Amino acid sequence: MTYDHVENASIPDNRNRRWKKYALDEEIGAGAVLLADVSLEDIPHFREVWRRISLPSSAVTPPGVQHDQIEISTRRGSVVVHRYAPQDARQPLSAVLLLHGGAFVGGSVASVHSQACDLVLALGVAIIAVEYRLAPEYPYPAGLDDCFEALCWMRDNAETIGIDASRIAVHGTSAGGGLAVALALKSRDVGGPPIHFLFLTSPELDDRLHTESMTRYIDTPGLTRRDAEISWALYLGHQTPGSTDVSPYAAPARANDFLDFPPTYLALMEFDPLRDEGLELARRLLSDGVPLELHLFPGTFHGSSALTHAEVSRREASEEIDVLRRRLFDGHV
Amino acid sequence: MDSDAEAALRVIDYFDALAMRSATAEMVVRGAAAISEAAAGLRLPDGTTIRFDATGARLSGTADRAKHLAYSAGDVHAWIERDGPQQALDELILERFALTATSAALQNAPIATFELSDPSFLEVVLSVSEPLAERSVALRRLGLFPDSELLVLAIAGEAPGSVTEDRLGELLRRSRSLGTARAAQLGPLGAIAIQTQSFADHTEAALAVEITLGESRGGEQISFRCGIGSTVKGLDAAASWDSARTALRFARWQSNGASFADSDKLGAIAALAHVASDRWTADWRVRSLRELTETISGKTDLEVLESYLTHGSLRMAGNSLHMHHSSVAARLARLEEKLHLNFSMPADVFQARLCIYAATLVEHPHE
Repeated sequence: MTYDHVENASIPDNRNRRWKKYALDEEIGAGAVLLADVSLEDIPHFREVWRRISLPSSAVTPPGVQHDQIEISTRRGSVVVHRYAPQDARQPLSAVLLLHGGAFVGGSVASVHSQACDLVLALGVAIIAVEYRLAPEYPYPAGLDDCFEALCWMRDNAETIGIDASRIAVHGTSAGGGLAVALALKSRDVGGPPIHFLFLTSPELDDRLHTESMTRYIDTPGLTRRDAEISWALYLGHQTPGSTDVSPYAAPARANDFLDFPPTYLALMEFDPLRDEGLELARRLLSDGVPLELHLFPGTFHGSSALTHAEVSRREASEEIDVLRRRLFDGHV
Repeated sequence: MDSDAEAALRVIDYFDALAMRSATAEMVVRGAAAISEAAAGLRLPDGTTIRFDATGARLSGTADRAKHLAYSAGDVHAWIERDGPQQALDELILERFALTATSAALQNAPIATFELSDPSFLEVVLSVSEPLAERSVALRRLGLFPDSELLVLAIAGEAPGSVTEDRLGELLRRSRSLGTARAAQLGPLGAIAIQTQSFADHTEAALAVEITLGESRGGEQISFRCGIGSTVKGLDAAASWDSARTALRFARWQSNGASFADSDKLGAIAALAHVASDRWTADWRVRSLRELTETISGKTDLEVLESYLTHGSLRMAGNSLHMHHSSVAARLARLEEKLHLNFSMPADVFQARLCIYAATLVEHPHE
């Protein structure tokens, strides 16, 4: 992990003082000063920082991983997906549809490139990462449509791609997590491709911003309440966050039910405004009979797993592999 | 990108935050490795070595010293293993690392490492019948690691059960320079478990044990017997303890200093320990050698014989005993007569060696 993407003129020790009140994990709390501190007030700047952070890791594809880009045609045009697979692939492979985070307005496949490579090497799965359209240029439902097209393409071309259509997991982080849940809802409702497993990390689910953690965590590292406000405003486009006409496919917390939802793993971070909407999702999944594994990692903040050296981050990463292995291969290695 | 000044501020701020949040020494080392993008390590005053790579994975205590950028703050020794030229922030990182680690180590010492440990933990660690999970927990309670290398020493005094706590404490103190050391009194014996660092192999480690524990400091010569167990992984400490106790039986008490027997060096000879004592004492030579220990002159005879058998020449034996070689010759002649052996014959030399081992084993039954 590189720490040279340090940013902006804000003096570090102000942040230390600002975050002192949060009982963050020792390594996580200290590491927070090393991460880029960008807000959504300036979208081009936000995107640029993400781009620069992703640059070094996305330039390298480790041996044993093959990576190519495919442009798939959609009803509205096309969307680019990135396919990652093991070099000596014994097909058909289980597959993971990987949806990056970035508050619906930033991030890219480049920002999950090394994660995709790691998953391929650790699990021997195929990864399909979607370069979905971003707000504000393309507000909801553009991004979700792109993801749905990608999912359908995976099922329809399973043999060509070399994957097992009955073993497609969807993996989403932050805004990507929100998209993942929305995707599962939509696919269920329109009779789309079945999703074998859902892996979620700190998903962004609720435009109403009414939970306790959203109210309380105004200045946490990684993500603040203000960031969430802007994110939803831009994603929903002409709709007002919190109003009655917002679709559950945009803000999945609004779904009527989660019946017949795929089995789900949900990782939440403690000092994260999004924490409680995640807990609410967990409660509702359990209530609707969805098999669920839930892990709230102590002393963490939104995106703190970027501090890969920290013990708690290593546990997160190790658990991710174990869970996916169990779900995609029934525990076989 | 940060300017130089901003980057430096960030480094300071980072380590300050670790200190502010009362990070443990391990977290500080992990953090130093992460920010340097290189492996980092720390050696604490009690001998504990902590090493991590930049991804947060723990490394063994051994490191190639040549590549280090090191910094010592008092008794704490910190380093970064930089492959290639030193980078701009390295000095600052190292300085902050060492300072933060020092206060972390002082504040957060999980156990009193300067005293004898609770015997019950060490007992569990050294017990072959305890389940693996229990041994693992006990190891951690003692601040030792299941898969780092470790050796165990069995310590005894002249008579059974005569190792005093003071004596054991002093030996523990000396052991700390060899690695992370924990000691306790277990029945009649003292046990010292040492998680060794940076020894090329067991032979080197055993030699270091002899030198470090056997030295006389300030004219004070501690007399004790010591069996050095084999080097094993932490979870297999019981095997080392077992081999240490067997080796101990081969260490003959010397009034003027420490006597060591290394299980690895003994090799197949250690198997002799399984022979019942009455088998040995059935042999008249063994009985004869045992009788020697009853007089001072006899004890000297025995020492001369052992020294001659070890060094193979009168002169070298004489040197090691500070005795003129003619005195050595005279005593050996007397022994030859007494034992009906001719020390210029290899078969008789072997017989003598075997009888000395036997006499020693009979002298020190299994404890």
